[in-house]
Amino acid sequence: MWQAVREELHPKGLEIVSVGLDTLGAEGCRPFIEAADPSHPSLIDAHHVLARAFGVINIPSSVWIDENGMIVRPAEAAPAPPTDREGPAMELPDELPQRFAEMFGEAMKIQSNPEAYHAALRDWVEKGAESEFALPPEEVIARSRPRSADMALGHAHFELATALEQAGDHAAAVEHFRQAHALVPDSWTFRRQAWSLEPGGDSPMARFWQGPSDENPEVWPYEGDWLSDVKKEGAENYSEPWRP
Amino acid sequence: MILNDRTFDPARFETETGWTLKPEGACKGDLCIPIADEIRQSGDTVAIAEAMGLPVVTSEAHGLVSIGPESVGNRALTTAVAPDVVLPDLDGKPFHLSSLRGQKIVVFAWAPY
Repeated sequence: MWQAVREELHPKGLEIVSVGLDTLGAEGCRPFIEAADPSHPSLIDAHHVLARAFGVINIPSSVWIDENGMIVRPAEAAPAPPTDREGPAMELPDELPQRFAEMFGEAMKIQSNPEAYHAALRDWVEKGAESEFALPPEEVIARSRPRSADMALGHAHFELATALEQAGDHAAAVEHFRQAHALVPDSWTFRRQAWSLEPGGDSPMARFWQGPSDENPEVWPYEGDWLSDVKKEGAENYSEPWRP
Repeated sequence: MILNDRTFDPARFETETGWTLKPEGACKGDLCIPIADEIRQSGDTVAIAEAMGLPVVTSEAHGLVSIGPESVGNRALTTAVAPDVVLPDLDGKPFHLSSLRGQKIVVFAWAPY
């Protein structure tokens, strides 16, 4: 999706590094990367290093780094370019299960400001440090995600859950994912990652099901699920509003 | 960072936590946390992490230790200096974010779920 942005701005000194956050590693990300066939670096983050290193708690999001290796905008929502917004991003089956229909209904209410974000990106690429959107270091730190000692502990649980899942012990992984969710309640990626590892609907979009199955809802191991949590927290609050 | 061996590996510790062990302590940006000599000399990653106040969670059954990030300053970032994140591409080849120094970078996070 960002390929067109990259082609336009790479000659002006911008590189895009896309990072797929997935406990399943390359195998989870591969079909999407091969379909996009990006000319920029496209990396796999099986342990959500971006959460630890930059405070990424949702996707899609971005971090801007200048020529000298200084972060000039911390993790924030990064909407798709305005031109990419026509039509659904994936093929929907003819008969959409009720849950998916409701999820797409909620997803439509998620707010973003792609015009402002992408105008700011162009302004920064053109003007560099002179751009009003390149934030000074103290502002970058102040705007980065809050992290209490409990939240840091939640990160440790999350990474252990990922390692246990990779070691094939799903039940043990679930226990630590649950701890991570309790300790870092504002992280959508921690929740979505765990939910995506549960058996979902019987479709190519199984990983997007993200909640109890219609057949055996009682075996769902988490407190929340995508549809319930989005309804509870409000789809309009799903993504933080963009700040200049 | 995930350990199945507690032996301290300074290079790996630096890459995966962003903290460098220096004579004055464990340092990141302008911040240094003093580490007592006996802990430093123990060569035990868990002891060093605990001395720094980093959270540690273990799985005895799998022999795994997970060391979480710092929470000093109560923010995800303690410095605006970008960490040198190293992640593999689809073929497993490691890529250093720092290899793009001299260009502006947008690190774009997405997920297939």
